[in-house]
Amino acid sequence: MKKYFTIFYILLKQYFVYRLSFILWRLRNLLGLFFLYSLWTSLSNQKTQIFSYTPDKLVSYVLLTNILSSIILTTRTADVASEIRSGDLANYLIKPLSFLKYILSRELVDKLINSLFAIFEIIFLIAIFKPTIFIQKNIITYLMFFLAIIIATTIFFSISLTLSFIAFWSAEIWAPRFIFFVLISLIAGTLFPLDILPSSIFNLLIITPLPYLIFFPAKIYLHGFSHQQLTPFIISIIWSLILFKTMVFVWKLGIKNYNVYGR
Amino acid sequence: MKKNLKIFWLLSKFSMKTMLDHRVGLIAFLVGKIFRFVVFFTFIYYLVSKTNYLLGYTLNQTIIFFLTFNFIDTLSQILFREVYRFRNLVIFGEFDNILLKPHHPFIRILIGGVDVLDAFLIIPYSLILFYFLIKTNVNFLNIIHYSILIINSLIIATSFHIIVLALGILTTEVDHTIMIYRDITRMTALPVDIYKEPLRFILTFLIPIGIMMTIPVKALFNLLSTQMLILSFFITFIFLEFSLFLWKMALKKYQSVGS
Repeated sequence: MKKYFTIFYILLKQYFVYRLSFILWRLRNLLGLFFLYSLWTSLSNQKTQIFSYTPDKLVSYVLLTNILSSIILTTRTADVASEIRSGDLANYLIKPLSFLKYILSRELVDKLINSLFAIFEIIFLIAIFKPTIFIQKNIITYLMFFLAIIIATTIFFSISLTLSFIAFWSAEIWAPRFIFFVLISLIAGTLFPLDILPSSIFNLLIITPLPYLIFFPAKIYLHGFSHQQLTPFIISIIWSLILFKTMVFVWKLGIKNYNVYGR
Repeated sequence: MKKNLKIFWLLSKFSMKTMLDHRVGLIAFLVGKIFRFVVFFTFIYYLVSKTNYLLGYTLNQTIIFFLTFNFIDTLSQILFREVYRFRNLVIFGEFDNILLKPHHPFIRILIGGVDVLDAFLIIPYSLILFYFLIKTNVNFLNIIHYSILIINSLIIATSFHIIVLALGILTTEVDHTIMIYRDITRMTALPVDIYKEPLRFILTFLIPIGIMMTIPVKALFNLLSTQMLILSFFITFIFLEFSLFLWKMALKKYQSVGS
């Protein structure tokens, strides 16, 4: 375990080497946040309630999903595909460490740094615009909220890494990821709360794993955890288990026939 | 001019052939782009139809703001895709070879890689935009203003891409810079009026994406004063001059480290 802490520490230091790159990445994030915040506040200024959301809950939703995206959707798993194609993966395989645990250490660093920056950005935005935000007070809700975040992180990590493993068989590594990110940006709940959609579409979406990435944790925080959310909660656990198992299976399948030449 | 057009045509042909080599990826990207457009369009349509107005703009007007943004954005993607690949030319020294060629480097590094996907998508995007323009009651003079201001928007887009190229030489950072440009332009998928001051002022006059995306549609709906119209052209001129100044400065500082 100690070696993974050392890896964690080294990777953490790497972020402070490529500072400009990281700052620009966070700036991009902040621009997206400005857009969504301004769109929803313009709409909520017109009415006292939009769909089932009061203005303070809508603003809270936008700010919360930004932090959630920084925890759940930030990832370095996309690098794995390039490492497989270039043969760099071999450098990890010959070392006395588990590649999956190494990837996990890398993910944790990425999520830690991005979350911290996201919190600072939200504080900055609140300081500028001074919006009324909703603060949840129920301890049980917080507990379920954190559990939902862990489930969402597992789902995203598993899908993203499985997509990178396509590189074992094909050079077309960016196109599936592009589609995945388009799907996430539209139906994971980063753009709008999914329950504003007509119920027929919403009911169809919650069978898929994507709404459990952002929308579901945010919904638990804003509306509290009730017996109505038990079924979706179980669905999300099932999805996380299936997707994690699939990812491990695909890894084992890919590594079995992996060849690296010229090293 | 004839020689430049010939080179542009040749480079575009190469770019198309390269892209058509990756058919699976091409189809996947195409599906992704269509899906993104359809869902975002439906989202705006659904949202504004439920709230009736967005800052006083009707549903049709809001849709035209979005479609115009999409049209200008896609058009600049078609033309300036090569900018996305500029970093490697600088860090591996390939840029030296381009500077030595007897044509302007912009023909290769700015417009030398026409995007087939976007060239294909611009057709349905234009048709949808045209359909909504017909549905909205606008007069001929306003359509003329709108068209001229879209050309003006493309000049601003060109300036932005020249700035990215210049910064690429000065800092070797292109990927994030170009994506920041994309993110900033995406902020004006809806009218710039949704932002509070001073952000609205910054987005309109300092980083002129408001002039690029919002002003043409305002002219279409006759919501633009003559002063603002003249100011838009003036700011575009200043912005273009600034980008060319930055480019010349970057060229002077270029040390050909990669070669």
